[in-house]
Order: sequence, then C-alpha cells, then structure tokens
Amino acid sequence: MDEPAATDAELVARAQGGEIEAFGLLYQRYLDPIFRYIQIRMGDEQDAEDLSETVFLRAFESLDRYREAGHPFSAYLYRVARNLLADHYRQRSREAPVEEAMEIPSPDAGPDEVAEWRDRLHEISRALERLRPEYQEVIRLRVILALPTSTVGEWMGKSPGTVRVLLHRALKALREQMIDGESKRAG
Amino acid sequence: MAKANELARILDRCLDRIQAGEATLAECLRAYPEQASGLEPLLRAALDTTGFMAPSPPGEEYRQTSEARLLNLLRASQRKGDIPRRRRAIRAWRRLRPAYALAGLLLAIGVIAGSFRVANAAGDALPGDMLYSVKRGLEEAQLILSLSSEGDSRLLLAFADRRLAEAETLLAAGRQMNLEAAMEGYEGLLGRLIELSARQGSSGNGDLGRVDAALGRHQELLQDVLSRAPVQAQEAVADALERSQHGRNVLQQVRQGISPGEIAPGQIKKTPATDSGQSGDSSPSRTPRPTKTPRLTKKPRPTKTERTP
Repeated sequence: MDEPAATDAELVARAQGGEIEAFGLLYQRYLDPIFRYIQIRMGDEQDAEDLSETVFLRAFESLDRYREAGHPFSAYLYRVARNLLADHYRQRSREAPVEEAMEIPSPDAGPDEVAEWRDRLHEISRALERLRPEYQEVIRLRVILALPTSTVGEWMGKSPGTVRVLLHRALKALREQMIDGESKRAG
Repeated sequence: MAKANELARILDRCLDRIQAGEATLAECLRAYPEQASGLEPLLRAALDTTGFMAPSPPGEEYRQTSEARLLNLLRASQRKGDIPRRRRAIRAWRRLRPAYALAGLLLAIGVIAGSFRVANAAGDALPGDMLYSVKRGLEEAQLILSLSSEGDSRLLLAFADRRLAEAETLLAAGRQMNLEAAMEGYEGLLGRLIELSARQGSSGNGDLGRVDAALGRHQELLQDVLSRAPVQAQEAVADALERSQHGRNVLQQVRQGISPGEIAPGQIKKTPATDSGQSGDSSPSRTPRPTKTPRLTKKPRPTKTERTP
C-alpha cells in the first residue's frame, strides 16, 4: 500500500536498510517517466519493458552508492537508464529510429491517411535525429515527456534557466530542420 | 541576449500551460502579442513533435507483473544473502567513516601544504579563484561532520548566505563573469536546505519560520544584486530568485499540512495561492495533452508471442 507521506529520501533510506517494499513504492512512483523515456529511445516496446526493469534492478543493486546531496532519486534513475541505453547501443552499434516505437495506425485509416501520417512522423523524427545530442535530450524530456523544467534541470544537471535557454535553441534548431526537410520533400 | 532570454522564459511558460491543459496555442499567442511571431513556430514545432512522438505509458498488466517480478527477485537475492536484510547497524559507522577519511585527507593536505594557512586563505576565495574548490570542500566536510539535521540546516543556511555574500563581492570587484557560479552554488544549497526543512517540518521538527525568514532576506539581497548585475548575468540571478520563491512556497505548503511526499523533488503541488504562472512547477510526469495534430487511433499491439516477424 502506498504511503503518501513518505518522501523519496525516506523511501531510499528504508530501501538502503533492506526494506524491499520501500523500493517497490519508488518503483511505482517512477516507472512511468523512466519507461516512457526508454520507449522514446528504443525501437521496440518489449525491449523498453525489459530495460525498464533492468534500470530498477541496477538502481537497487547500487543503492548503497547513492547519496541524495542535492541529487534527486529520479535523476539517479535517469542516469542509470542512460548508462544502460548507452551499453545497449554499443552492442547494437546504432540507435533504433525513434519512429519504430510509434504505434501502428488504426485499421480504419485509409492508405493515404496512413502514408501521410508515416511521412510526417518520418520528417519529425529525422529532424530530431539531426540535432546535437543535448538538443535532442532537452526536447525528449521537456517536450515529448512533458517533464517540468525543474525536473529536466535536475536530470540534466543544469539550472532551470539554462534548461529554458537550451529548449529555446533546441526548438529553433528543430524548426529549421523541419523546414529543410519539408523543402526537400517539396523539391 | 536579454530579449532572447525573455522569449525563452515565455516559451517555457506557454509550453507548461499548454501541456497542463490550461491554455491553447492561440490563447498563449494572444497573451504575448509582442513575442507571438517568434513564439508561434517554436510552439508548433513542440506540439507537432509531442503529437506524433509522445510514447504511451506502461500498460497496467505490465506495471503490476513487472513490479511483482522485480520485488520477488530482490527478495530471493536477500534470502540468498546477496543483499543484506538490514544495513542499519553499519549505517552509523558508514556515515562517519567518510568524515574521518576526509578529515584525515584534509589534515594531510594541511601538513603537506606546510600550514593551515591554505585552509584560512581559502575562506576568502571567490568563484574563479584557485582556492575556491578548497573552500567548498571544507564546507562539505563540515556538513559530513555534522551529526544532526538541525546542524545540517544551520550550516546549509550559513553557506547559502556565503554564496550571496560572494555574489556581492564579485559585483563590487567587477567580476561579473563569475556571478553565475555563485548563483548555481546558492541554488544547489537552497535545494538541499528546502528538502531538509520540508522533512523536518513534516515530522514536527525544525524551524520553518527561521528558514522562511532567511529566504526572505535572501530575496531582498538577490533583488538588489539583480538591479546591479550586467545583462549577461541577470538570467542566473533571476533563476536564483525564482528558486528561492519556490522554496518559500514549498515551506508554506508544508506548514499548511501538505506532506512533502506530495511535493516530489523539483515539483510543487498546485494550489490557487501558488498557481501564479511559475514555469516548470507541476507534477513529476504528466501525460501530454491531446493537440490538434491529427493522430490516428492506436490499435493494441500484439504480444511478443503473437508478433509476426
């Protein structure tokens, strides 16, 4: 049963003391953003499910080394997820196109509608992939996952002001890439 | 630079309101007519990206089975002895051990350096000075050696005061380029202080009034620094001001009986008193709101065994 009064720090301390159930509460609290982040980065939902579980397993195994000290537990989980994703792609030597993670269209949609949807999705994902990694990441976290600026700052190790400026630049760059893609398609 | 920073702030605020379902794109553009031409293409790019690329949350079945699987695995490891059942007995020692190690290291450094003058000289160091890292290291050592939450709170507040004093000294010395480092240091300490104060407040301990009063003084000081800071440093000071106000709002909510568990790190529980357009302050993760971008209806994905190659 969830204990709404427990902070992350309290649950982490209890989990560090060996209380598995406390870690379960942290799992419930953070599975959603971690899973959705991994889902954006991976091309396959099953792989995302497997990796999400591995993130929490690894996080628990190294929990003794976690110290709050201004670093929220969610940011710690995010770092574990990023490290596992890096290991995953080192083995595969390429990052799967993000559009592979998108749902297949409804069977009711006509072929033209499906084709237009796929084209637009392809344009947007290609535009995103051409951005520098920091821009991609801030768009993933702040725009696609809709995490608050303060959380994005904690995860990326930046102040909220820096995140806002980074987001502004990233969206400008994305917009330019989208226009470039549209003109190539029209031409 | 100031205009670009202002647009970045407005962009973030609009995105926050649209994602929370509090405003549409058109309403945001009407709210900021001078910035609308710059805002619109960026917000459209953001909304298009969300509309096509927002991933689905984990399914309920997966959520339940994966949690059960994970906890069973951890319990099995615990029974095998891979994970100690109770670590509390050694935690007190482990809390002190790095303190003694650090103290020993610092003593060794002091001896090697020839005297403790290094430590004394570091006390006046400012961001950008060679000994500034020594100064910050000594502060962390003091925090490690503190054995009570009240001691931690007093130290964090004192160090936050120091960061602001450093900011004033930097301004007076014409070293505006180092101001951002002082502000970031202040924000880091403030985050730890608020988290600690919220925990103390929720358990009936701590003096939230003292911390709140200190933050009030900090805000006055930051306003003064902001008024004298050059344009390129104003963003950092404004952020520190915003963070300070956020901290006071969190403490106010704790005093009103809202549990810190409902205010996750970096977030704030929205109430009518605090919903004043602060950007980035809402629940830790939200499902993106539907946009006007056409999106085809999803069909359930087949399970792994059913998938065709």
